[in-house]
Amino acid sequence: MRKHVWKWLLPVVLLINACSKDDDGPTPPAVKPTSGLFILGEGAFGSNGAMVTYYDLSTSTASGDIFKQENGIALGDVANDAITYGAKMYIAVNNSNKLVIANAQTTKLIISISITLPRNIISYKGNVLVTSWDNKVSVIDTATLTVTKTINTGLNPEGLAIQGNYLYVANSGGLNFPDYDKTVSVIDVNTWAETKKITIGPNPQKVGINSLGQVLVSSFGDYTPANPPKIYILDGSNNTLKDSITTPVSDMTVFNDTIYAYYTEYDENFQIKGIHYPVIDSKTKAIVRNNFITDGTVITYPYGISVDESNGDVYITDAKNFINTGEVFCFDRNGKLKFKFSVSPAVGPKKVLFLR
Amino acid sequence: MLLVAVVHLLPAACLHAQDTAHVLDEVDVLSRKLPATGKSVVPVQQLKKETISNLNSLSVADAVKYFSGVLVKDYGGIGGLKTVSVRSLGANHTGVMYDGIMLSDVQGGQVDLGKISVDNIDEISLYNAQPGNNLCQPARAYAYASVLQLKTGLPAFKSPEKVKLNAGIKTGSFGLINPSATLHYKWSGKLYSSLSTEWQKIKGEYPFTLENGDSTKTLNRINSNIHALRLELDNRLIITDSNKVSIKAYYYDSERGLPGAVILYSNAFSAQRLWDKIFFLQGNWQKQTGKSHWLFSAKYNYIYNHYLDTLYPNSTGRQENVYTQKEYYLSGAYAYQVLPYMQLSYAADFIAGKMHADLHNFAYPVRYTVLNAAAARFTWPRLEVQGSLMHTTVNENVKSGAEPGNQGRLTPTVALSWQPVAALPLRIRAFYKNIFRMPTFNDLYYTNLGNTNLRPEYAKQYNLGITWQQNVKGFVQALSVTADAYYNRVTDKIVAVPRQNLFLWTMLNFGRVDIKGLDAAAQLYFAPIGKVQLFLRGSYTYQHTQDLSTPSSDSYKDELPYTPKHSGAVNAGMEYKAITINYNALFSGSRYRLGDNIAYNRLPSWSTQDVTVAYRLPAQQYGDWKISFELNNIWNTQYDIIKYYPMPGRSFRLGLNCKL
Repeated sequence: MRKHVWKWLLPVVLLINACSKDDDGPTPPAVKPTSGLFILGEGAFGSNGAMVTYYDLSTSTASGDIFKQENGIALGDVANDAITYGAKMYIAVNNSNKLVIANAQTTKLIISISITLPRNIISYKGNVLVTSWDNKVSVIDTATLTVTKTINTGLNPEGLAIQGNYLYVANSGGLNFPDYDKTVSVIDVNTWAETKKITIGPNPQKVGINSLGQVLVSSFGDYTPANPPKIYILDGSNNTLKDSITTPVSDMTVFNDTIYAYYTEYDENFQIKGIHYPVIDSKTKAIVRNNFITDGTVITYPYGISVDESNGDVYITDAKNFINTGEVFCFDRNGKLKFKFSVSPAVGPKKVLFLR
Repeated sequence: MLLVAVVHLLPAACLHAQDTAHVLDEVDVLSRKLPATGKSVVPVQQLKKETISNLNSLSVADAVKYFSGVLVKDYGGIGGLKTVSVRSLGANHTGVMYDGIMLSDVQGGQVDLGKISVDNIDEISLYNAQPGNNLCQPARAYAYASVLQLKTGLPAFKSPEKVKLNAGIKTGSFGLINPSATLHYKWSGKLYSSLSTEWQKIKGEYPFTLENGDSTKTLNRINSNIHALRLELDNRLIITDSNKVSIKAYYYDSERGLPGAVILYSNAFSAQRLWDKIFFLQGNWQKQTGKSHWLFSAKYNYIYNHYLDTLYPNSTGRQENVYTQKEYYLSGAYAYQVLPYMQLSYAADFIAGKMHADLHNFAYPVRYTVLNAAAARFTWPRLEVQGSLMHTTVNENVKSGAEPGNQGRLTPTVALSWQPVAALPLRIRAFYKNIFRMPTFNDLYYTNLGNTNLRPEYAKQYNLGITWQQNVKGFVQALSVTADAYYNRVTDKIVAVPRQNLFLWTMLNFGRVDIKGLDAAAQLYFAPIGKVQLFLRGSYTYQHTQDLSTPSSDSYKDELPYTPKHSGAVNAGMEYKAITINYNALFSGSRYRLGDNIAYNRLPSWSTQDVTVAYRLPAQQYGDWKISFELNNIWNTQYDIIKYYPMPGRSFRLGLNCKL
């Protein structure tokens, strides 16, 4: 076998200014500046091509597939989500049926936990919570790294978020076309029991929160004119559907009450009509900007959107055609491109993690 | 798909049910050993029964790997999908004719050659452009960029004989049991029936080595079992050599596991199963009187596919679909020898194809196709020129959803073969063909994927080649060498692209591909050394493909996935008294698994070597018995043709065959 070129590109010392954090405590409120980025690449289905790319912000160099460099083995097949919490990184490797737990600064593998078709991850009070397509949320104790509880949800749960005493889980039913799920599971975090389901629109996906105590849930709709994509607003105080934002989004992230999103619009001949990057004030539903990108930067196929909490920079990943290696674009808060880089050889970059 | 090693010493007339006397003339020019393909205006490669039986092949897919210019997409195992891409045009551009009539799959457009047994096949021929040996053929024979012809045949009956039986059984690694029998019955001097049946059961669990970075594991391929039954009944009425009717009924029934890609770390195994039923009834009548030659063909085709995945994470925990398709086919062709050197022909085909699927809002499409082909052929002693013009009309109706527009297209082909010097057995040949393939029903109508705005995908081919066929005195008795350089361009290539999210893809006329290549093949026959008879055959393929779809893309001008620059095959045979030994080798250079030609995507080259030893028992009154032993992949090479679909390592097969 030929040696892969990017092996030589790997910096000898990855992280000089890295600091370690306590596992069990919540993240301190002051956000330190970012020194580097980890980009999770999904990889094409069945290709075992899930990867982590490291990008050093001080040297502007990207190091491909660092998980394999660090561990000598591949990450697996289709990595859908990752977070860092404390000193650890948690990666949902969907088609490998694994939650991979690794060192948050080096990606050195600590342990893999079996979870069937995991999708999205959040952290909460010394736990990480993982949705999985077998209609569950698993609660993993980050001290013992074991599953302490599994909670039944609706069909094929996707995004999740905690607001107050409740965990909100978007039940997509995405594998149940044309009968998508339309609900959000509301789960009491003290008992880990589902207290109710709120019906919204078909195929709920992402979940965010704002400072009004609201829960924001995006929905793909069912691809018919009757049920277009929307953002639903739930009232966290009484767990009811309150309102909706009709701006269609493919994906979104909520930062400081602002929704950053993208949406690819197609005409009836399946040709791209336009790619939109709406910025929405979640408290007033007002569209702050119709197009976040202000300098004309063109992204072929936006596939993930993340915000750096330390400076408000917005990262949009470009999955291209899911065959070629993807790119990551970094914009300042005004939508001007700061820099971009390739995640070669990773395919389908999705999530950006910030190393501080 | 039993590898029955049968050497039918047939009169050529029986073998060439579809051929005209023209081919027989060619044979006379050369040594009877040399293939009758050197004078063809288009490149043609041929495997006869005796060669096929020495190629360690169960299915046609295994055998065609020995042709140059052919890439078999092999998803591993016995039951895995095996499609053929000729000169990198893609599987949809190759037509497969079975005893003179095209096999069809209007749903996916690709014929799975892994399902076609070589057990009762007498001859496999691959024609680039179109079958060039005969003008009197169905218009559909002109409708593809290349045509793979499969022919079954009749053995020679000695005068008092009424019954001929050819039976055999194969067993071997991976739990293979494969009995087969073909019974030929001569009702009269003119009417013959052949009943061919075969059953195949394979457990299919084979060990493979999974490399994951620094670690290597040996695992077992599971859910790759298959059982399949084939029944085939032929009735041939041979009134005279120039007036023949044949009717075939074919039935294939199989159940198989689809093992899927090998997924790292996952303990879950694939639970996908597929049931297939194929039935067709076809017949043709060909008649030659004086200068006229008629051919009438008809066919009814039925395909049933039942797919089940019991581990699909939806609300019912399973995904299950049933697809059925039917096709009605009629063809008439007429050729007339206007002048001694000029023949003209006209053929018209009518095809009605329809499909059912239990998919949400399925369109239930019906497609009517009318093909009209006019052809001319000019033959002089040292020059032959052929030209054809094909008109295609496609009219499609759907029950729900958008209806694609009707199509009317005119496509030409020209080809010539020229012997520049009378004293030299050298011929130069060239062809140009412009043809398209229609979007399949999957391309057009598959839920959340299909796009009824699709246009046909065009393939333009240019070919320039030489052939050298010669009988020589000395150690080499006969040799045949061919080399063809070609340039192909595919435009409006139909590809799947993601839309909005990964659950939603669309087929688009997106791609453009340039293909430059060289196909070379050589066959050598040696003088016997004592009682040892030797034979050597080799083929080599060079291909340079370029994806020209998107100038801004990283894969612009990169090689297509799974297209090695260099590949080749060797097969050598030795006969000593009743013992036959054959050695077969396949080689594939490195290639990329994705269109992005970066080091990470490069797959290593591989080669495999097989040996067959067969022993013919001394002739006795209870028939002609033969025992064969095959050792496949001698060095236990671990390789994938498609990444993460591992191919089997070393395996053996033991066969017993009897002819009565």
